[in-house]
Amino acid sequence: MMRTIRKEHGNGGKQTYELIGGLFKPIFGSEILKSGDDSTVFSLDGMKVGISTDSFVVKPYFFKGGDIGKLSVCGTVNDLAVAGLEPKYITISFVIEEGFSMDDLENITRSIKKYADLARVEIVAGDTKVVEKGAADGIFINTTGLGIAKDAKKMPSISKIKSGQVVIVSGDIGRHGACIYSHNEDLGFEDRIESDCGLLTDVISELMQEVDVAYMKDLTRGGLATALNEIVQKSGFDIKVEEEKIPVADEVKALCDILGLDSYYLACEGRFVAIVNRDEKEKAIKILKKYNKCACEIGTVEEGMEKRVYLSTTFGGTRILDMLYYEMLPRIC
Amino acid sequence: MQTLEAVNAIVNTIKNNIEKIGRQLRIIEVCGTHTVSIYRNGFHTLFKGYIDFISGPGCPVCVTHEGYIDNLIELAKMNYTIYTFGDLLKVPGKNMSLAEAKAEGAKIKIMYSPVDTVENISADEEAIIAAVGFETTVPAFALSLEKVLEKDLKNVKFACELKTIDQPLKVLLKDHIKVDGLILPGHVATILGVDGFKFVEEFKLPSVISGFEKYDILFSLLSLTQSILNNDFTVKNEYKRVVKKEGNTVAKRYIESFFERTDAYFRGLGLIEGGGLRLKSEYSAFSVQLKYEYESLSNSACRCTDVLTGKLKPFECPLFEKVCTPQTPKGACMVSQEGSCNAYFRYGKWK
Amino acid sequence: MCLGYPAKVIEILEDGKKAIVDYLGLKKTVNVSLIKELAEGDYLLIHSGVAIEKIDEKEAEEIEKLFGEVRDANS
Repeated sequence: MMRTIRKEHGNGGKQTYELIGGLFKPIFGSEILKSGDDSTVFSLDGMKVGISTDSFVVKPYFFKGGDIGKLSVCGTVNDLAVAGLEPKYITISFVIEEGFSMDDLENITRSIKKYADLARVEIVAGDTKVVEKGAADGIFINTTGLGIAKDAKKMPSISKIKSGQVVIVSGDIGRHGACIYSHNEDLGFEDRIESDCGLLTDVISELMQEVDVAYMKDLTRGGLATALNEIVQKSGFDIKVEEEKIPVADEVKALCDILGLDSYYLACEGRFVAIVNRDEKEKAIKILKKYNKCACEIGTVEEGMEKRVYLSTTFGGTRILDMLYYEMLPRIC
Repeated sequence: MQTLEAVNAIVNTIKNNIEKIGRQLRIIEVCGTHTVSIYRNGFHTLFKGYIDFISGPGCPVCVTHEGYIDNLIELAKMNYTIYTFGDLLKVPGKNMSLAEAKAEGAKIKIMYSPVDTVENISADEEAIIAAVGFETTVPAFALSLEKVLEKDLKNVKFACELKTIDQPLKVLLKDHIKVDGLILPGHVATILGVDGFKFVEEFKLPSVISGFEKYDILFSLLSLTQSILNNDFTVKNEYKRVVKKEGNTVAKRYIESFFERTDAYFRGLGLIEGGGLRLKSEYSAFSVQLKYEYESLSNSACRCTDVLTGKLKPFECPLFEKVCTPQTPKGACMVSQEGSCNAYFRYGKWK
Repeated sequence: MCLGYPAKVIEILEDGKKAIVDYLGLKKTVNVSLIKELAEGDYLLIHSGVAIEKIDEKEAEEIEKLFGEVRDANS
């Protein structure tokens, strides 16, 4: 492993996994942690509960479609929701740089409250630290959430994934990552792209009531490609997706073409993939489309030994859709 | 816009042409952006057994000597701010890459548009612009220099490592490689025109100037296989919507006003006479002197040289995948997103 | 070595050296010093922040036409 932390250790891709698996998990040694996903589900006195924690360092703090406060609630609540849990409680920790605007802090705080209410979670504990100028970049927020399983038998799980099942995405991808790039003044964009930052609690709740969902994963850093690769790595299956079917908004495609980025690796903050049996896919898609009209089937789970994600191109060729290997950088070549 | 039926019909016509020719074709795509487009769209699987795609030297990152990176890091240590395209950030120098130098505190910033960058540099910043690229990008640097002169920005200099495509291509075709046809870089051709590539006809090789969208490549393959079948060596233009016979004369004048030919080092091909561009002597005050020893490439087990000249496929390199990966690149072909090894690793590799 | 994208000129700025262009609905400012006789509504090919050529729309339509012909010939 490298001797110093690099930016790519936070990219949500291969290097992040190496850091977690190579340094944190061995030292922490917790069996529950080892089995965990974005949320960790375990039994507490006979009840199935789950915990998820996440930190938010996004800049700009206010962006089209949200702010760091909204993001900090949605991120953690969504991690609980995709595990099949009903989010109940959340804690908020602030690390704030001296000189940060009080008005901005108030707006962020109000945003946290608004989205906690919409998610029907109660803010039950918190902490605030102020550090001197230069010791933090504005504001960092950590949220930790607790959820309970409404129906322990209906919990999605990696072990429920089977060959032949269908992979569905809940909406168009790459919006959040594109939004942040569009806010960068050095890039000369005249418009801002709207982030997909949002709560998934309602859509997942409705989906789980009507459909027997095998597995769900929310798309965050590293985008769609990284999430699908994590699924194949954990499940041992292959996934094949079709390029034609993956929904990407025009303005996201435009930004990617202009900067030489790949939309499949751009962060999302309000999207998830669900794996369901073929005979339930129509019902599942119908429910998801009520919340985002771009929801659709994008591929299938296949028997395989390679633990790979394959992309079938619009011209009928095939290529690999790999995990994010390093920080995706804008390029001219 | 197109339906799969139309695509399949064209793919079949291309395959029929190749069957009539009677062998698997070795086709070189000169430009790294074509390499990426070919792999991303699955052309390597679509034409498996029919076309062996060979990646050419048109990848400015791949052909840049590690000494250039070392020079930039030295300049950063002298407190200059280095402005570079994102493409160059991970290229390993002798000891480290620009990304690693950045992590250790060097002022290295990513540049998206050289002209905009120059407009926004503050007067108290000693800045170096890492000028890397082929003729497509040279005009952007010419415009930046024009701006620097206009505003008399004495704090801005250029570390010039610009390259030309004709000289290395001539050396490659003469000394190094046997191919059936060439896919020529559509955006270099936008600047230089069809005229800029007429020299390829001397090699009696069919060639086609191609755009980068998947349907551009498809139609270019159709045209190229037709030319190979007919022994037709005239340069064909399949990117007519932007490539003119004479190219962009305004852009060419800009290049001629500010730059002159110089010898340049190409990884894999060695020192190429007239293979580079440097600022003309009257602008030398805005140029940084670069020093490096051409032959001292650190990792002798790295086979980029052979991959770049089409002698070796990425998976035939002993370091490929085992030691050399996009996270731990040992040579430029793996670092650059356009490099053969990187493209093959990320899009093409499976058992 | 040549990423480029097509965009439509929405507004010409600054003595004709810059323009706001639109690509798939996303608007951006680019340098247009290399383009002769630029007009609003023209399509440009952009590379590293600079327009390197006008796109000939008639030629661009050729590809659409060719696909149409191939599709019809094979149906």
